[in-house]
Amino acid sequence: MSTIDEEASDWVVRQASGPLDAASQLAFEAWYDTGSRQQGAYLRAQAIWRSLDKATVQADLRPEATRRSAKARAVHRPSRRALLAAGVATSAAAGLVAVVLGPRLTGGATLRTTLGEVRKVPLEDRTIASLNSDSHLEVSMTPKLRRVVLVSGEALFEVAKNPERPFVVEAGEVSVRAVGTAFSVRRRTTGADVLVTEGVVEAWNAGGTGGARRISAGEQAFVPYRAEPISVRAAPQEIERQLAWREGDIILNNQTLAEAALEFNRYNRLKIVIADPALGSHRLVGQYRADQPEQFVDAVQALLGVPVARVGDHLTIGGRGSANMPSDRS
Amino acid sequence: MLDVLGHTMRGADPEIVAWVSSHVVPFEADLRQKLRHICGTAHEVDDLVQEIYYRFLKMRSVDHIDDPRNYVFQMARNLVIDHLRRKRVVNIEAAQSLDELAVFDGAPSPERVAMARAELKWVLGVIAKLPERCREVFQMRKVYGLSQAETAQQLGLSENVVEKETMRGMHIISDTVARVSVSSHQDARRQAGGASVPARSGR
Repeated sequence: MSTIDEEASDWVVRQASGPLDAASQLAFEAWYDTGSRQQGAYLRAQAIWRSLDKATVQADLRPEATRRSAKARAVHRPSRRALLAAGVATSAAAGLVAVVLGPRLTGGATLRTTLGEVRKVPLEDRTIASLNSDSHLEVSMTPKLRRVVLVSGEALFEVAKNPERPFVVEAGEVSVRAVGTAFSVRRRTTGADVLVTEGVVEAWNAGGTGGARRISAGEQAFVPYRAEPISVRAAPQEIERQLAWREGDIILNNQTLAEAALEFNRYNRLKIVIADPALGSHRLVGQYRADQPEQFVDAVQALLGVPVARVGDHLTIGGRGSANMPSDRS
Repeated sequence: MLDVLGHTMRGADPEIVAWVSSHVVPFEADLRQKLRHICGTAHEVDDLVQEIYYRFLKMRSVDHIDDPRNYVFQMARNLVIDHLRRKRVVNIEAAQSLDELAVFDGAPSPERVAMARAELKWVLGVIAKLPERCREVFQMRKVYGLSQAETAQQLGLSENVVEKETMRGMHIISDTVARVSVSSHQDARRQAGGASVPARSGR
């Protein structure tokens, strides 16, 4: 490394430990102003220093002794760092879930994904619809309205801006309207989850009298099919976690083993079964490939020290007791 | 650029720093490798690399860059051409090697998520290879996010020692960035027999 690089890196380290005193500040400025080589080296050192932040784990996962005012720092750190602390080496070599970009869809169309398939489909208006595993959409585009019916499953919409032509997603009795924004809708048993990543949407249920409820970027809402109040809460990190399926991932951040099994079973024919119900409440942290339940189960085996077995289409965790298979559909 | 008090701002926009840390730093070693074929001396390579970072420092936005790796290589090519023009004697070999920079010959830029994962592994690998005390300091500061004072307290060292160790570690890391790219790190692992290291293998 050149001397200039070393000098640059020393300045970055000194500045990271606190504000420079007046004399040092002057020395720094004189050094920096020497020329473009110094300035280039300085950006390089800053960027390297910054790269190392990628290793930072969430505050609540650190050893007790090293925890500090957790919130202040943890806010902007994505949860994926978490996997380290859990001591689970995710073997992430597996390929990504295929993202298929077909021709743009015009007029009316049916879009379906099979189990484990995640698809990105550009619509005629340049909106991008991402369909999660086992989902079904009916799209109809008219000059006045862009209407999408979410028949089942979950989809995320990155809506092209067009104030003259509202974009409405219907999930049973629930409707969500956007102009230019990004949001996802997931059908649940008694209502729909709406997650907004950009802009603002309005959601309502057909039977409700309360009118539409606004949901903004970083907020998550549950909209019941029945005429019941809509609950909205701010949960930017949780949204990021829940939308990890777009990249073919499942991210766990203190979800229980039972919840995790449900998530994996949404994507795979190979179902995870928790044989010992007591294990189901274990909370886990980590990032996994949605299409690799075996890897997840291996990690659980290593982490919890419990036996796992594969028989036919089932991956069983825990003793050979009475098996109960989690299923989203029951 | 002026800050609120009217001082000249030194350093880059934090967004540029973040972007460069994800899109330039990981491939710097690949770039240097190519430049070594073209440039006469290690000094010239350092010079060009600093010049490239300087260009990014002066950018207002990086939104227009679709393929960062190719962009950087293209930028390097243009800079090399400038350098060669200024030199009276053109090294013929250098002129031929220029083509190597025209198109990056590796695979297309890795997909974003795969990349983030590779970077994370890379960063952890870099920290893990530091000499012992250095490594402890980086673990406290970067993995656990402690300040210099907190790190000193945790490790029972003086703040001055912590700062010196941090500087020493950064020199080593800076050197690693110049030698080992994220992609070569991945390739090396693949060649070594599989990218996945089970948690229970005792490493």
